[in-house]
Amino acid sequence: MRIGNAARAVRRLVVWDALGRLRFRFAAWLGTAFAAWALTLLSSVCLLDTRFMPSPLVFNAVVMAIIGSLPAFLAYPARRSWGIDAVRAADREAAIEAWLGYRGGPAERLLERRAIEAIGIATIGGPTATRRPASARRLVAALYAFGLACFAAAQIAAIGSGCGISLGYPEREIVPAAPGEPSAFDEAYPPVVEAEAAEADERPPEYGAAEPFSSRRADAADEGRLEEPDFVAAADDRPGDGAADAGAPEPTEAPSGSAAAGSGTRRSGAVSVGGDDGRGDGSGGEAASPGYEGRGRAIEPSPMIDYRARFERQYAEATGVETAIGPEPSAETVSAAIAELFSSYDARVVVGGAVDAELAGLGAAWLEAFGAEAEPDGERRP
Amino acid sequence: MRRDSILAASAPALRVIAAAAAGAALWYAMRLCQGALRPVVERAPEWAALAANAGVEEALRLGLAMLLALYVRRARLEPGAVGLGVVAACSLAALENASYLAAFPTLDAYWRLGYALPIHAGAAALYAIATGDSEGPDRGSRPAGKAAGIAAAFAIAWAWHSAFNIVAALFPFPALPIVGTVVNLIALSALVAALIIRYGYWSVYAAR
Repeated sequence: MRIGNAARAVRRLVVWDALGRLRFRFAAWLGTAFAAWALTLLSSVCLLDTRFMPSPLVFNAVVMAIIGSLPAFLAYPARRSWGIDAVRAADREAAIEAWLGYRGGPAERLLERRAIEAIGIATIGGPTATRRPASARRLVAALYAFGLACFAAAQIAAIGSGCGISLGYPEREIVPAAPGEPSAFDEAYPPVVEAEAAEADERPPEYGAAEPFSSRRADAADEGRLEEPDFVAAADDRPGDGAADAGAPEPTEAPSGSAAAGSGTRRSGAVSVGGDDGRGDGSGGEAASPGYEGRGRAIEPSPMIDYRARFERQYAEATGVETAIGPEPSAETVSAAIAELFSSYDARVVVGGAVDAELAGLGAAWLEAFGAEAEPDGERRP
Repeated sequence: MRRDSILAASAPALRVIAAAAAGAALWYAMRLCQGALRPVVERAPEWAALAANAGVEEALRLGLAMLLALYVRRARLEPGAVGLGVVAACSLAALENASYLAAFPTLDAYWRLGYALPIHAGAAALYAIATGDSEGPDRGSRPAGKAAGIAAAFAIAWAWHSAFNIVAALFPFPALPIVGTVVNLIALSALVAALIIRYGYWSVYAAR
């Protein structure tokens, strides 16, 4: 290094130190922002379905404020001693400091030469910034650790809440109606709900649905005690379909076999929504598959699963045979099951008993005239 | 003694909180002033209204920076404490972003972090550089020179702010968010580095 470049070398040294400090502040901001974001995420997930749940506006405003705090971290007040601290860290024998403090005189060149030597030694491996205090480094590391813990807890809670992996505002695709609160169907079709309630009130107790509609919104503990039809249990045993492999107790869909038999499709759907079991209502347009919530995987809501369960139930009601057609039934199986289910619509009625004499005579004349085309088998379509 | 040490230890945090509160107050004052000015600027061309609103914001921000510089001098704090003006600017920008998000609730609002926020923070950094006292031979420089520096900083910040507002409102183009973000972040980085060097390392620069 030539004499005369000492000033430039010193300036390069302090610029490098300033950049090192800014890098550390950036790392501190990143840790703080990560921790604050993870904490916000965790809070939002924990407050899910409560009235304290922050709105998307608040959530995004907080996230924007967290990200936007970067300039505040970088421009936080500097200390006037930083420059001389950087020089002293690179110059153990105070050669640079002595040169900086010398204002002209006979020792100028000597001090400058010593300063250049000191800078050269200090920057052999490239200029280095002063190390931040250990306490500051520990604090930043703790921020990262705290953020990581919050993030992991938030993801676990989000998965448990049925939101899946949440990096932004946590939302469920299907929001179950809280017990006692009207569902979307209830709000959209109040006459249907009222008619159902009246019908339930008029139903004999042996049908099991005489209780008011609102009381059918049993809590999870009550529903857990309800008897479940075999075909639902069989469906739950199927891999990837039922609630059994979720490992969590899922409320049953139908209150009981008899209640389902007497209530029909809409009734069982209403119980399903009110029961908060996440299986959805087929009439709602978007049904959740059994065990959808809390599974932690991207399961698209498929109405077919719900329809299949309903079909199996109706099949059992119509035929008295409790069975399951499997998760992926063949076309032949489905066709045969549908034909059997709807065979009652094709029932033939035998008309017998006393016949009017005039009608009998008229029929005989008809047979005589068009006997070749007629089929007097005694059966008529209804 | 123990109470004094606790106060001394918590002073930086208290100053940050005070600066953030000042930023919130500044945001409210800006809204009030712009609302009061609306009947006047309504009749002006749109570019003039945008420039006037930017001028109001910058004037109030400069006022806060000068108050902060005065406080730092009176309280005999480190000259670099004028950097708290950037903290206030971030607080102001956070509130402005929230109000913008409430009015236009889309994720496009996040572009403001690269486009609008650096304008606020950069202007605050520029005012901090212009209004504070630095270490070195130029400490206590002539008031006229300092006033000229402050006026120049205000003119630069106002022009910069107005230009970006006018382009965004009247001459938008698809790449504007990206271009604006890059340009503003570069400007902000340079200003922050200058702020740190001026108040942290200027003694070394001034010595030689």
